[in-house]
Amino acid sequence: MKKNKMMRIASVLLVAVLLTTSVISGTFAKYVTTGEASDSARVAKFGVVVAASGSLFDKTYFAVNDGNTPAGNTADDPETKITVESYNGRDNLVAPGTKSLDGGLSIAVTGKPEVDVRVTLDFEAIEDVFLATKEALPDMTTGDTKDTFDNEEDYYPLVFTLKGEYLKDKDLTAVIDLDTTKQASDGIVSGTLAQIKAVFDVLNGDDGIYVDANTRLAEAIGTFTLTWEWAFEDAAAAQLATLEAAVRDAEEALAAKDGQDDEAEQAALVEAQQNLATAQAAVKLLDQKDTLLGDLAAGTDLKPKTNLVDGTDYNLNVSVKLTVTVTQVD
Amino acid sequence: MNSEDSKKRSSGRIIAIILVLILCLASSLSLLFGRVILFTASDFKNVHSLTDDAQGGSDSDSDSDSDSSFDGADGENGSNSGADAENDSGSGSNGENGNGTNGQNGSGSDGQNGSSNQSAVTHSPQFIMEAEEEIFKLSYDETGEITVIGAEGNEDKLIAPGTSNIYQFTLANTGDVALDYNLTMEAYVTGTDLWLPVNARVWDYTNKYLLGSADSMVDVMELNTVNESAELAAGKYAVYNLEWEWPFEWGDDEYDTMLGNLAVDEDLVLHIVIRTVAEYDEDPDNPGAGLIKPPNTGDDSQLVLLSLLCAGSFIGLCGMIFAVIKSGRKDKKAEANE
Repeated sequence: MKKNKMMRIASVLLVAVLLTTSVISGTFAKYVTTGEASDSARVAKFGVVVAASGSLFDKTYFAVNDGNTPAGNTADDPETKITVESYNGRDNLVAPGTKSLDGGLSIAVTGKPEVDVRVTLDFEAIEDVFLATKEALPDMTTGDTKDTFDNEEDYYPLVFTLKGEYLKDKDLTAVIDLDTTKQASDGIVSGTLAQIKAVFDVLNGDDGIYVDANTRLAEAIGTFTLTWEWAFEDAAAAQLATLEAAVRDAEEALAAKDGQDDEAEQAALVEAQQNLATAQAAVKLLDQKDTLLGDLAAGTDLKPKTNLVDGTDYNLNVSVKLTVTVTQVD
Repeated sequence: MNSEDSKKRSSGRIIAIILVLILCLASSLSLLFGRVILFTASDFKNVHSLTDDAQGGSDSDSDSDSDSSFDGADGENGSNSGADAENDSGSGSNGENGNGTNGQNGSGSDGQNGSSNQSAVTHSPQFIMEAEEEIFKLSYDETGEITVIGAEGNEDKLIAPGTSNIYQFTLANTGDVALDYNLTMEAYVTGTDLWLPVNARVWDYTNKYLLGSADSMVDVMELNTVNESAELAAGKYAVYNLEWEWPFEWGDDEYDTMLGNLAVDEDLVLHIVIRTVAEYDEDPDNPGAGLIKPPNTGDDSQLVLLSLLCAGSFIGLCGMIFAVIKSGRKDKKAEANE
């Protein structure tokens, strides 16, 4: 009985010791602190695409209602309607009456980069067809080997047209003699290759076109389309019929006066005849220049013999290069 | 006689065991009491209630203490503030970030004293990461004009050629004793296996470079090799700088362009992680360890229970001894009567 009591007492004491010991251990707990900081970032989107399509020149041109256009244009019977064709099948050609397809050469800039970019439109007018100002040029339109004509100003037969929404509100007055008739309404300007290059120089400014980040380039820059045409006849030729009719009318009016108080009719006839003569001279001059260029291309002996320097007095080739570069701004 | 002798011997043994147990109990109780009575509020500095943001008397003392210790490092922090000021003049967005950061540096640390005093209660180091300061940014600008920014509505932080940033972070020991801490970093890329041409370097407030050097930066993946172990004295701060950059011109624009174009359809993400592990410096003689003995980490929340346990054990012990003595006397009387 007594031993049992003592055993119980000993057990209770043991439990008490264990309990207090375990509590003590908690007062020696060691704290360890951890910390973490993190961050992440993704690569900013670029995704700018510059896509070029179409072409300007070709080896063969078909006759269609509104002119002679490169192969590929709609034609019911292309074989019978070829009007201009490269003799060697390799060279691209230009000739009076030829022009590019409506689509011409297009460059489109698209994308929405998350960085500021600088768009540079680099237009190289490598060479253009021209006949320089010069007197006593051989007239190859007549059979007379002594006939000549004077070219009073540089003649660039190819008229280039640049179209783009971006052009509509741009100040292009610095480009001399550029046709801006349709600039504001349609974003179209026309001129020689040099004038088109001057347009791009104005657009680029000193450093290119800056576009803010997250701007749709298709809206900010858009597409540029370049086309050309070598007119078969100029405006004067189109007026010949009208002017000839005006002369006939003036002659009839004068005849009707039968020499009585016909001063006005005489003056009118003189004016009509002068207008007609001017237009005829313009048409003839155009033919003389185009024919001379064609004979120079063919290597025909010029009569009267004239020494013309290729590259200085004339050029028979046209070449263009348009490069669009989109660069991130630092 | 023999049975009586054996009885006496066994009783004696049991009594001896009991005495030993009594000694053990007495010593453990005294040790327990000795540690518990150390847990008084006056021994803690910078103590703030976890739910009380108001500045109490001890809190103001703790603030001035922490400020003075921070002021001690002001020479360096001053120059850091100067760098922030330059960043402020950079652009509006930077200015906002800088101002926000500076403001939060000043008030943030005070405010975080509330939370850091939580750590003071637990004597654990406070790892300060300014909420507005970022390793990466939502937008970047040059000469006051934003040149890199995510699409509208997109809150992703970005990196791109020409972007860079200096991220300054601070480790604060708001406790009473020195801490040993270990600082590691990690960098990894998700979304692609391609290498990102990003460089980095890390240096501390003594201009010791943990990665790279003053003249050069190394590949950002080298952040995985950063492993810094140091001590932080009580009430002191350790400032680190992490600088990264994606060079605008490093010789391969095509590679950069390729990455930018890939990013249109895939998220190519660079991650940077900074980790710290801090523990108490167990060497009381370590000059960085502070001026007081090793810390007491217990708490007094169970003081009443412990007191009751102690009192009850003592009473029980006395009662058992009295019962043994009384039992012994009874036996003697019984034997005498026989």
